[in-house]
Amino acid sequence: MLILQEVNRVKGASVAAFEKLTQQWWEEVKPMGVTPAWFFEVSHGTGPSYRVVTGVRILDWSTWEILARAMAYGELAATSERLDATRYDSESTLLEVRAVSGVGKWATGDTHAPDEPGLWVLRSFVDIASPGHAEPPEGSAIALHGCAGSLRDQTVVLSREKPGAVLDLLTDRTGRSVSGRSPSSAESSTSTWVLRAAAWSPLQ
Amino acid sequence: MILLHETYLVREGGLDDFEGAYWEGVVPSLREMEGVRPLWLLRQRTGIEGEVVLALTAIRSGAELGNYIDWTAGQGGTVWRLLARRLTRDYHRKALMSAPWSPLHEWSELDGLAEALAPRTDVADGTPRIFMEDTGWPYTDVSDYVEFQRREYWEPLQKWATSGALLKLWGFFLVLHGTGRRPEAVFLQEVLDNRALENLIGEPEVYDPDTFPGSYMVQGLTYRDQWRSRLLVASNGPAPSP
Repeated sequence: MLILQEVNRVKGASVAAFEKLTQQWWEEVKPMGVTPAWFFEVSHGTGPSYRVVTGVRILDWSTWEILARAMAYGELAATSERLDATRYDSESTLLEVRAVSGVGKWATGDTHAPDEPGLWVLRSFVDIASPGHAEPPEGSAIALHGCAGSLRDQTVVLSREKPGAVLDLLTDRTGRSVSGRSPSSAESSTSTWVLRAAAWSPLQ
Repeated sequence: MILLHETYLVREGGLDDFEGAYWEGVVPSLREMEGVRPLWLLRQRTGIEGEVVLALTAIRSGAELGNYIDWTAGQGGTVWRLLARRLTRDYHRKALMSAPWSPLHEWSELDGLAEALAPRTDVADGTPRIFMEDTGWPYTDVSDYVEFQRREYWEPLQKWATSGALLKLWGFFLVLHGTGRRPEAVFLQEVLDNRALENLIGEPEVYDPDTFPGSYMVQGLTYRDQWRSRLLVASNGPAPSP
């Protein structure tokens, strides 16, 4: 399974329209075998404003081609352009799901919504020796491999963490850890995004 | 057809090594893959970004792109990954698809282009084969931008082609969703008259809005004002064996 993730630079005054159009786009792509995966905002204090991270699940590469063709020149072009009007631009990446842990039936299309509060931490790093071979995820986590676009050839781990553990990570305090740390063989510094799920995100 | 567009930012002084490594370490593997055909390896030794190599590969379908990705991440691509890591500062991988009116839209076109696509062997006089890549970021609807390029650039170029064109348009492409920035469009052109480049880079950009390309340049501001042009030289293949 592939995840198409998009980091959107949304226009501040168009956030509501962007959310509405994204949900509309999700409905339009369902018949292709493309289903919603997540809708995150960058947590305040951890990154740029009005940066929205969306993801959809894609069955396989052939399905991706159908989707991409429809968005570029086909029946999804008009919806894509309405989305474009609500943002400055977007950067997208194709990720292959390598391992899944503790997210219930999310992988088969259900919503995963635990009771306790949590944030999602997305870490990416380059591991030249074994690209995409992240440590098996623990807790609620998804290990992915970047195939094209902004995270090409990077190992990506998306893990659900308690807010306290995230704060410890961000403020360099020891004693508590989060999943998905880069292995010792990683050859470049990691990038870490702290993400807050929208109420209607399939991954909560 | 998908055009795989891979840009390598090469460490200073490493361009020739990278070029040789690509021809010897990647191209033979690509040629063995079903539905994968390397088209051009283009290089820029001096420019804003330093040493740059652009590898352009035709891929028949999404499924075959997946096979290529598996090769790059798997055991088969290990040697190349390590070598590329040593020789490059960064790289980008995008997938492009040409507009329905553009060349390089169908896989079947490639058979008829075999001769034009082959590395040139008649370069003993040192005349380089030069390409110009333009990447643009429209601020209007993408479909309007695509139509503008057809109407105001592609069609006039076809008229020029009958009377000694300076450029050959190899394709006009959009970046496919999931592989890069949106909105983004790419022109790939080959320079047919290298001497005309002196005029292009040496003369001030004052355009007559009533003639082509002036009308194109003026109208183009309705659709975008930011683009990047790069001149790239085609690599002519692996160095001959001693």
